[in-house]
Amino acid sequence: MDASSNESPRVLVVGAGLAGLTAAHALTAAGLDVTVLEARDRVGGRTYTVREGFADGQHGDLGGELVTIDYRALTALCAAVGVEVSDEVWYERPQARPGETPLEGYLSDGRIIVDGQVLTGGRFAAVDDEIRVALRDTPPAGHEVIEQWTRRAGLSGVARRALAGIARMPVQYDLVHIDAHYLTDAHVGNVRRIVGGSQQLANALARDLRVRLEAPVLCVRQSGGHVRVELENGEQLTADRVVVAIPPFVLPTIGFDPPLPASLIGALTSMQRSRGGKVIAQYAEGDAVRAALSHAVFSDGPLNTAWVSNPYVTSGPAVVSGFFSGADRAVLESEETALAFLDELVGVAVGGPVTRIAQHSKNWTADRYAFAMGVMYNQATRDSLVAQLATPERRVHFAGDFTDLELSGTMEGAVRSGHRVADEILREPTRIPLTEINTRMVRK
Amino acid sequence: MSTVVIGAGLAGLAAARSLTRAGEDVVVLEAQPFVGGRTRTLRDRLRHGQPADLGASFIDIGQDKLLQYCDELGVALTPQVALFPSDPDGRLTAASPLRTTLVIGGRRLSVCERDRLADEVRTALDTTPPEPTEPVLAWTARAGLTPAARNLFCWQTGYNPVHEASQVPMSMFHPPHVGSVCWMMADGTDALAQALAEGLDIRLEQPVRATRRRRGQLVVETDTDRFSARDVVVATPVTPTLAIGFDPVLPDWKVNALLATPMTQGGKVIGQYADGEVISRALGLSAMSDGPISLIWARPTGPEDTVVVLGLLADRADGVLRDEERCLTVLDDLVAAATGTSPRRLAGVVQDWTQERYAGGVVSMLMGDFPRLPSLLAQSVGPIHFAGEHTAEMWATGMDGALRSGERAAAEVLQRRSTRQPEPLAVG
Repeated sequence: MDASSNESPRVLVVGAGLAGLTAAHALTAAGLDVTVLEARDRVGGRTYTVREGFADGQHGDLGGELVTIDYRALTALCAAVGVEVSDEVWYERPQARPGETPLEGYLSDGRIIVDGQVLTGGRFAAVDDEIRVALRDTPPAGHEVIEQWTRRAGLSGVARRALAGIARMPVQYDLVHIDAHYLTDAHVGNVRRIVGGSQQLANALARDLRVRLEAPVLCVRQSGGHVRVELENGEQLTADRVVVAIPPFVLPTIGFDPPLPASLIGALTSMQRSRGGKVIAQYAEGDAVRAALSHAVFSDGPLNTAWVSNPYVTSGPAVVSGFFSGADRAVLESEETALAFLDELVGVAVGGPVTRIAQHSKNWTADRYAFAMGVMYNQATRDSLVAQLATPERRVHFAGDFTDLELSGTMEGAVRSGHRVADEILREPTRIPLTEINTRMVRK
Repeated sequence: MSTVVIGAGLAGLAAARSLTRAGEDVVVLEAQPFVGGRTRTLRDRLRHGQPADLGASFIDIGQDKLLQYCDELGVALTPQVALFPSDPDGRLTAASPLRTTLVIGGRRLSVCERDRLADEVRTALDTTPPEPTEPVLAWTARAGLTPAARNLFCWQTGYNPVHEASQVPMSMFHPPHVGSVCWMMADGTDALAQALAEGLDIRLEQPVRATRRRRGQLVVETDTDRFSARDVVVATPVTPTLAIGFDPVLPDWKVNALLATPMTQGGKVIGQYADGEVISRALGLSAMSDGPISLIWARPTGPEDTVVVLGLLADRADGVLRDEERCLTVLDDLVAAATGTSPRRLAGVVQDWTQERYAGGVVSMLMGDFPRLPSLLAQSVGPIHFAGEHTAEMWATGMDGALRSGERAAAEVLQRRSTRQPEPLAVG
């Protein structure tokens, strides 16, 4: 690091999401002088917990929520900062057959809704059989677009509609925009939650950090061995290193001087957005809702997936989250319509009318500090995209879930990228002043 | 038959026409009940049969392929228009589009206020030259534009390329390559598609499910029928192409190119008003606004002193595009503010291209990995050829590019005819 010897290097972190906070936490722990700049009036970015209106002190997560077995960095970080992670519930069936794909793991009786009806009994068995046979006889190529595979495999209308809910669940894209490896290779398995909501982790990380809220960055300029960060309010800050930890579709809204390389911008502008968001509601019929929706329910309708977000709460009302995305994202532009879809789906899953007590919704596409839920890469371009996106530009380093090779699009990816970028900075050698080289190191 | 063309937009029709003229046996399969794709025109929504162009509108100077087709097919144009003037020194720059009528916060700026914003942008272009790939928001921040100039400059992306600003690079505007010398089609944009379709074998409402290669032959399956062919020209937009099954699977470089080409998201609003002459005169070339509708312009006045005003708007997830009456009210208000009149709307229509299953958006965004991307999108895979605005080597995203790509795909098919074995004799 190139600060004068008795001063610790100054780092500015742009973005107080999980990536930026993880980086700031690690760098502060290593003794660096770190300030986090956050555009919003809260930390957490796309982890966003809401409580207002919910009975029994319950909450909902409008952003990142699920914690899978692969989330090792996140769970370790939770443990380090004293944040509790809940017990697991299964999303892929617990009794998987050997060699079973994630897609087959999601196929179980009573959780797939087609045309407003739950597939059960013989109707489910027929779809289950058809999809398994298609996977065996016409296996999808990893890079094949799922919609193209359903056509090549000649799936029936009902099987395609069953797949419409399942395939949108893990990544929140329409079937024309994801490749099959998400259904054949990317296991979700069992899922856990951060107790008290995902934002607990962001809050815990931010507790001992210097975070400036409502400080949106306008431009990042590099010259003379320093970085100057200009805020939208006209203020200018200087640093030895800058970590830019903002979502991929927000990155192009910030000025860089010199401009970012064409290859990096090309990578950013070639990515499909996961557009849409979440609706969350609390229902009075807690036990019935928990029984029907704790392991996630899929639907071919505009609301593609719904699940109980607090399955570890065993009595009282239940909180259910649902997703709108892709071409159906427009539903979220009216909260009332979106919630009506959720009520309907929960009613179908439970098998009777339900009573909504409280609700929230979040359209991430309309959020200028997100523009999307996120981005998921297709199998064949993931490595080359991440290679371009994660490469530092001199004194500016890039973090964010989308810069993680294995778990882009997840909270775990964000945490890993925060660690990676902190390591990058800590590896930087201290600059030795010219006079010191000549006096101390040269053989006289 | 020898060739199946999937999609009866301009690219598919141009391919089918070239092939038919060369003596090929061609069938065009179109998913919709009409031809023209994203050049669709409605004639039953506005009064006096006035055309409502839901998609493409303009022919720009230099789009010679498009002009050549219009000339050859007798498609008449409206008188020449410009959407904005040049800078005072006669140059066309990325600041020129701001020299039209500007409506900010519902108020029309005075000439003085407008010129101050445009001059600020012009000075910044000269002192801080943008990189072609630099995002518009990034350049305006680096150049230190005032918030007012920054917002307005970036808001242009709402009509060019009809997208919100974050992913649009400066090459789109610097220098401006559309809007300064242009024409519309006098009888509506789809007049060209209608003329091209003349004499072709087009099967409407035949959405293609899959294309399969079987023993040197291709079989194209639709919802109801099967067609066999020696070659297939896929002339569908990027997103609908991703909904067609290919057996064998498309190679990964092709899938990657398609997935790396997002489509711009937005639509069009069209209103027909009384007192056309007054509105036209007061509107001038066009009006740009910072509201949901980014740009409006007028067709030449029609019968009984009516005028059709067209507007473009990006999908900003604010619900405007999904609510026809609200969108038309926004248009009324913008026309009122821009012209200082109280416009009386006679009819109107809104088109949301993002919700069109067989479009998936307005146009392709070929910014990632440019200029490699259009080449990869255009490259054939054996007997499967690809056409469409996204595959054009020139004037990509436009009607001109679509026509060029169709001709190119047809030439590929014909070349295979001249260099490959003749069709095997039918056995049995």
